[in-house]
Amino acid sequence: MSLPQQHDSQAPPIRADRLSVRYNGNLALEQLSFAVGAGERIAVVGPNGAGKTTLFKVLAGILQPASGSVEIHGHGPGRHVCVGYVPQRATFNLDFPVSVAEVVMMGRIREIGLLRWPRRADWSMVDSALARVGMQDYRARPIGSLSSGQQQRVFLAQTVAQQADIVLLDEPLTGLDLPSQEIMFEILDDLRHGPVTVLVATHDLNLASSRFDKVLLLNRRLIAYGEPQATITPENLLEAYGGHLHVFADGRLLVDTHHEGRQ
Amino acid sequence: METLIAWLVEPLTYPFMLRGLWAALMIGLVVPVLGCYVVLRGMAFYGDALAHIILPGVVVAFLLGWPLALGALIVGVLAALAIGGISSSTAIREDSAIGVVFAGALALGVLLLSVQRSYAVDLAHILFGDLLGVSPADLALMAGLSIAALLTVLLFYKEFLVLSFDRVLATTMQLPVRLLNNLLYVLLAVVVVISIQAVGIALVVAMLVTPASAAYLLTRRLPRMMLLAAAIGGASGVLGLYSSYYLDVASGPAIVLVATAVFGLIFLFAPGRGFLSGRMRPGAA
Repeated sequence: MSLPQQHDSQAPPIRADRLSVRYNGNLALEQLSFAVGAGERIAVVGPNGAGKTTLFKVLAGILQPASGSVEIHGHGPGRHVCVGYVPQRATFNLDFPVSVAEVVMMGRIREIGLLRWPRRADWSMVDSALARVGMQDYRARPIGSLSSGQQQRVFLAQTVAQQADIVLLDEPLTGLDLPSQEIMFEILDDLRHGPVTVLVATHDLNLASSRFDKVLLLNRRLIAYGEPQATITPENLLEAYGGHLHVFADGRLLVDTHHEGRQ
Repeated sequence: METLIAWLVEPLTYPFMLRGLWAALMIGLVVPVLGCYVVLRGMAFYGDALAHIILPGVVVAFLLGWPLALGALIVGVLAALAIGGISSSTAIREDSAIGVVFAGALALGVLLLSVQRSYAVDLAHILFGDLLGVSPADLALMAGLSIAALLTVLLFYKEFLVLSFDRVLATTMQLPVRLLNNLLYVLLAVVVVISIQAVGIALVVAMLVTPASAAYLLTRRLPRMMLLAAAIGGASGVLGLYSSYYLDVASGPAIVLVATAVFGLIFLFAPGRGFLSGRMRPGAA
C-alpha cells in the first residue's frame, strides 16, 4: 500500500476544476468547478440522478474523473485517507457479525497499518469517537440491531476515528425523525471545530437553507453555489428541478421527490 | 469408562486410521474458519464450483504421478484468479462466470479420467474422499497448507473484515481491494484442496458452509463465529471418522452427515436465532 498523501496547507480541502465524470457510460457530471473551505458545511442539493452520489464517489476516490480535475488538500483523491464517506443506503451486510465498536475501529485500519492489530490507543480513540456521537452505550451491540439513525451516528463516529477532515454524507437525513435530525446537526456542529469540512446530500430545501453555510445546487452541471439565500432562488430551483417544485405562500419550498427524476 | 477408552483407542492401533484422524481433525478445524467468509459473503456456490474445477488438476497430477494436492493447488489458484478476472472485466455476472468455468473444468476432468482404466474406483475417491488413504507426505502437506492459511487469516484479519463487511468502505480507505480479494480467493482454493482428501470434491462445500452456518446461528461476533465453526468442524471430523470405522461406512459422507446433524440441532434449538426460538418469540409470524 502506498503511503497516504501529505496535505498541501495552502490548498482548500476540496477544489474541483471543470470536473466531468462518466457513470455507466453517461456523463453524470459536467464541467463542475467549485472550492470548499476548511470547516464549511455544504448542502449538496439536486433532483434524483443529478450526480450527488457520483460527486461523492469521486471525492472519496472510488470513481475517477473523465476530464477536468478534483483536488483534496491540493492533490488527487486517490491516496487520501482523510475523506470519510457514508453512503446513502447501507452498503454493508446488516447481518454481519460485528459490534458497533468494531465498525468504528474500521475507520482506523489505515492508521494501524498492515499486519498490525489495534492497540489500546486505537480502542480509546474508538471510545471517544462513540462518545462524540452519543453512542458509547452501544459499543458492544451488533451493528445490525441499531436503528438507521443510530447506524448513521456510528458511521459518523467511524469518520471521527478515521480522523477524516472531509466528511461526505449521502442523504443522512432521509428517513430520520426530527429528534434524530437534531442530534445529527448537533454532532455536525461539534465536528465543525475540528475543523471538519462536511458535505451533505439532501432533498430538504428548508434544511439546506437554514442549517448550512453554503448550498451546491446540482443537476449534472453546477446550477449555483454559494450562500443559501443567493442559491436557493426560484429561478435556480426551476432550472434544477423543472416543474417538480412547489413554493408555498409562507416561502417554504417542497420538491416533489416522488415524481421528479422519472419524466 | 475403560470400555470407552478401549472404544476410542482401538482404531488408532492402525497407522492409517491415526493419520486419517489427524487429517480429519485438521481439516475440520481449519476449513470452517475460511468457511466463515464464504457464509458471510454468500459465496457457497463459488466454494462448491472451486472444488469441482479442481478435478482436472487432480487427474493430470494423477496421470503424471505427481502428488494429487499439487495439481489441485495449481488449478485451484488459477481458477480462483480467472473467475475474479472474468467477472470484474466483462458484463458477465459472477455466478454465470463461475458456472461456465465450473462445468467446463468438471467435464474436462471426467473426460481425462475416462481415459484411465481404473476410472470408477479413483473417481469415487476423488469425488467422495479417501481419508484412510492419507499418506505421511499428504499429512505433512496438509499441515503446512493449514498453518499457512490460518496465519494469513490472522495477519489480514482486519483487512478481510472490512472487505467482507463493506466493500465501499474498503475502497474509501484506499485498501488494495482487488489484491485482498484475490488473496482470499487463493486461500479458499488452498482449503478446498486440503478438504478434498477428506470429503472429496462433491462434499467440500459442506466443510466450508455447514460448520460456519451453524456457528453463525450461535453468535454475532466474527472471532467467536470462527472459533465455534472450527470446534464444530473438528468435532464432526473426529466423530465422523469413528462412526465410519464402527459402522463400516465411507468416511467422507459420515463426516459431512455428522456436521449436518450438528447444524440441524443448532438450527432447531439455537437461542435467539434458531427455528424454534423464532417460532416461540412473541409477535413472530
